[in-house]
Amino acid sequence: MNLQAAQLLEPTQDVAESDLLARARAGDGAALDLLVRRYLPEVHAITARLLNDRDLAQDAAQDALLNALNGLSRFRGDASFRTWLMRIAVNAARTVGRRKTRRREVSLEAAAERPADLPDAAALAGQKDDAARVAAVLEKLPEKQRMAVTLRTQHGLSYQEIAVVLDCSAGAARVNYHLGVKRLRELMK
Amino acid sequence: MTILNCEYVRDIYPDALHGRMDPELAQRVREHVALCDDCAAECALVAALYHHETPVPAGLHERVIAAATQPRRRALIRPAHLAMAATLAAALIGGAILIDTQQPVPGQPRQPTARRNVLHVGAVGVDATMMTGKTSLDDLSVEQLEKLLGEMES
Repeated sequence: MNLQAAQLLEPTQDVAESDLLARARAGDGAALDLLVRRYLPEVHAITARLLNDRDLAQDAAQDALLNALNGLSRFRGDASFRTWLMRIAVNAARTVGRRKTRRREVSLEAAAERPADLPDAAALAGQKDDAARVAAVLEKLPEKQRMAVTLRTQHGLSYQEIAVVLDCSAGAARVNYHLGVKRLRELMK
Repeated sequence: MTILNCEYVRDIYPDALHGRMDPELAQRVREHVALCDDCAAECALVAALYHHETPVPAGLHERVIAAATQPRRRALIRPAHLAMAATLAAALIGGAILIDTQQPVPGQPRQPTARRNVLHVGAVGVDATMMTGKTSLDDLSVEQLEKLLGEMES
């Protein structure tokens, strides 16, 4: 059986992780610490990609992990824990983003400035690090395309998994991924 | 052996990067990319993204652990939420604030006015001295609001 097809047929939850989750549910501090250590980089990468603001990304990453840890009893195992957690991360980032919009914390002057996370065009042209340059251009994509490309390329999710995280169909995830990559190629020319 | 088309290769290339592919299929993908300039350009872009890392800010892990190990109630409830909830609860359960002072009984001396007054907010009695000089629930401290909310919920 094709390995990729096999992975799609059953939940991707190995024995070690199920034991870790059980211990975390029981309040084992070491298990909580290990869960955070294992998933914080990915959760933060997702919130950073959605928010493009260092402080907000950290807030959202913290909120996402706290929501997940406090809600471990609600995790049923229908999808992998990783996919479930990424869905929570996306929701947390969107909540933080909406909160920022409501508070209108960004002044007009600050809004006119390019965020510190994004280099300007001149810096882009001179940037030798292809990875950083492509990641910077990725910020210009619409959110759905940006997230589909990020989740597929940087996190290795299948289209079915992306559908769970972004609450869309697998077909829409595939379309957004390919549209996003196509747009990236055009912007990189 | 079936020749892989460009659309299929570009669709599954991220799986090869992440090691989620049968080794034989991964080899065929690499061979296709080596021979197709267009696929090579796209896969190079995908590979560049794959290699990009977003570093975790210093101290974030510790902050998450500290927040996760705090008592849950304090971690989630903020003073603004408490004040809002207490004000709303007071309005919903009858909102009438009765200041219970001892009525003078005919024939008996009037009690000193320095005695404590009890403020009834709905069914909850709150020592009115706590509210001396206070004009609204917004003036209550977090601890006072938590106590009030706890009494309302019990």
